[in-house]
Amino acid sequence: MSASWAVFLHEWTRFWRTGIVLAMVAIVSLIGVASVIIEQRTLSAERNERQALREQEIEQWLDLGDAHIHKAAHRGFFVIRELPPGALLDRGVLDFGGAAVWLEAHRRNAPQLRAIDSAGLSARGMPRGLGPVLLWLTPLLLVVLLHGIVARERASGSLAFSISLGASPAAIVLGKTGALISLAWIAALLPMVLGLTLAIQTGLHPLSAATWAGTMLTALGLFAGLVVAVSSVTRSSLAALVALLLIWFAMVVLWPRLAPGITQTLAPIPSSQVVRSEAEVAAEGLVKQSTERAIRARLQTEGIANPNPSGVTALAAEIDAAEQFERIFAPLETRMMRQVQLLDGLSWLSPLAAADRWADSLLGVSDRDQFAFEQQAEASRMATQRTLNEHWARMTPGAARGTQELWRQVVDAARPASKDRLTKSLAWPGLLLWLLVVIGLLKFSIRAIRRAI
Amino acid sequence: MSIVKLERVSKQYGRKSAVEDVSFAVASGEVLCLLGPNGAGKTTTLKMILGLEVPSTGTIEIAGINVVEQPREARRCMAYIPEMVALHENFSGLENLRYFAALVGNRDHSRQDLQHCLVRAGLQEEAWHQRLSGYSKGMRQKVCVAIALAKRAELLVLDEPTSGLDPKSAFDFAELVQDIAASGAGVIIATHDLFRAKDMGTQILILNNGRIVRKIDPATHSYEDIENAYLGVFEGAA
Repeated sequence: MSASWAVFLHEWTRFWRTGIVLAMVAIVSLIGVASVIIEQRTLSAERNERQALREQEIEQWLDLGDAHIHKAAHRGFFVIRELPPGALLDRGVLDFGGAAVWLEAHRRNAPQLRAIDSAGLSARGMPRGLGPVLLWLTPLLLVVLLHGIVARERASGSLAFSISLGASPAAIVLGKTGALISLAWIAALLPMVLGLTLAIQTGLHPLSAATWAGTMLTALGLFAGLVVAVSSVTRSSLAALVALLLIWFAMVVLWPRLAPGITQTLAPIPSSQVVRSEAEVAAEGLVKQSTERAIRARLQTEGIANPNPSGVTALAAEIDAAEQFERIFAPLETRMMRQVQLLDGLSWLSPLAAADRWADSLLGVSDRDQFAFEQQAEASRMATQRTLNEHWARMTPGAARGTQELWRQVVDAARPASKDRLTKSLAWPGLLLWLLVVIGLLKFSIRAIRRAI
Repeated sequence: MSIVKLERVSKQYGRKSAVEDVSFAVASGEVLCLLGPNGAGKTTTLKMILGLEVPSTGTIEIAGINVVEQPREARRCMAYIPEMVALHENFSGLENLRYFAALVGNRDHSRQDLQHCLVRAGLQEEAWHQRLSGYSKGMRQKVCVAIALAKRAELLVLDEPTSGLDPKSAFDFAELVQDIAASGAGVIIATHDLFRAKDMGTQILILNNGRIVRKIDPATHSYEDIENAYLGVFEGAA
């Protein structure tokens, strides 16, 4: 039996006898399982609600009968976001991103900035969903129950006794770190298995599920290593407790709250309202004669010699406005993505925040997903407007009434087509960085034990 | 051959000299008792032997290993029993013994071997499986001695081992130390207990202000001689 294995077994026996195993497993399992069950019920209700809303939208459009096409275009519609199966494990920015986007003619929908504001763990308040329970609660329990894992032995003299017998400080630190990591993992096991099973059943890809589980376990392991390192360099259990509570608070509450503000300061973007009103002013009354001519020429080649002039004007206005919008919005969207990437980088300062952002990305509930959804919604708006105006332009002059077939085309076009994100999350290198940091801290703590005996 | 050998060892903390020019050697089977008032330099000397403090000058060798250059290797040859024995409270004596034996790399011990160590250390069998929180100081020391036996320590270092023990326990402990020395280990004891030093020791050194002020052979000196020599240190200081 190696010395580190002896320490590992010894710590596990102590965890068991002092009730730490029971406390950790019971608290994390109880809250974790409860959160999974509650989220499953909530999400199921929300899915039904969204489905009902979607059906209601379709029904209302199909009931338009022979309504005027242009009036119908201004009626607007909701693009309803489908809830990703990963939301069962973590709601991510869904709570703040909204379930739907309201669309209507000539109103370009600027991506909202709420995703940035709500990117932090703490923005969600108390843990809700398994992901926040694991990243918020489990580290707190590690701090409260196990802050003295080395400091207590140092204060009692048993650490000095071990070293005086010739025990290796490295074996002691390694054994204790292994025991703490395995305890955190075992505490998380039951709710993770339950949550992942249910999420996979509702459509989460097993690879995404496995990567999410790996991310959670890595984050917990890194924090456990941090607990051992801090406990090794502090002179008393109380000092270790205070230091670790401050670190936990900084990583889970303070930094995730500060980072969005810092992001906005370093890479500012105007509010969506300002940009939208600017875009609408730019697009007002904008119809190029050349665009109308091009539309007429195209329709003539398709055998429509006398297109509807109002329809041609509306179609031309839509095409020209789209160009104008693109000119205004493309740089803004680039800046938004830069802001999201900067927030990824800032999350590296906390392994728990980095894990949270990476996990959100794996589950499809991140700010990137919300941003992509809003872009897809805008694409839907353009598609429906084009469908309506194209139909109008093809009608004989004076005619402007729609048909059920046309309304059917509109509701089909209002469904977001692509789920691709614009860029991949850059939060995961933060975990690798912290792996190196924690290894370095543990090496330092081994030297500290040698020096301080 | 000497198991422990100190040559002109000194330790300074800033301008204060805790140990000054101390030299002695302990061979296999010998028991060296360090006597002296509080602050005489006994514990600092022990800490330097254990490699927990680095001497300012001089050399310390344990079984031929330089403590400063190879502290961990040197510690493998010895066992230390502090005044306040710090073992793990939630574990029994046998479990503590098994843990510390494994921790220092003695992996070939069977349960019988460990029990044999406890028997040799004099711990009563009914206490083996009791948690340490119910142990007296003497019982804890016996577990420490069993750990030293399990790791086959060539040198046993004891700091005030009989302080706080009742006379019977102190007598039993002295016999146990002599038994360990008789089996071939060297023993160094820092103590205030003159009578136990006379009983256990093969040589006695009296320290004052970090220096060795008297060397006494217990075999050729009576209790009174040792007591007079010890008290003479205080009178000299006065």
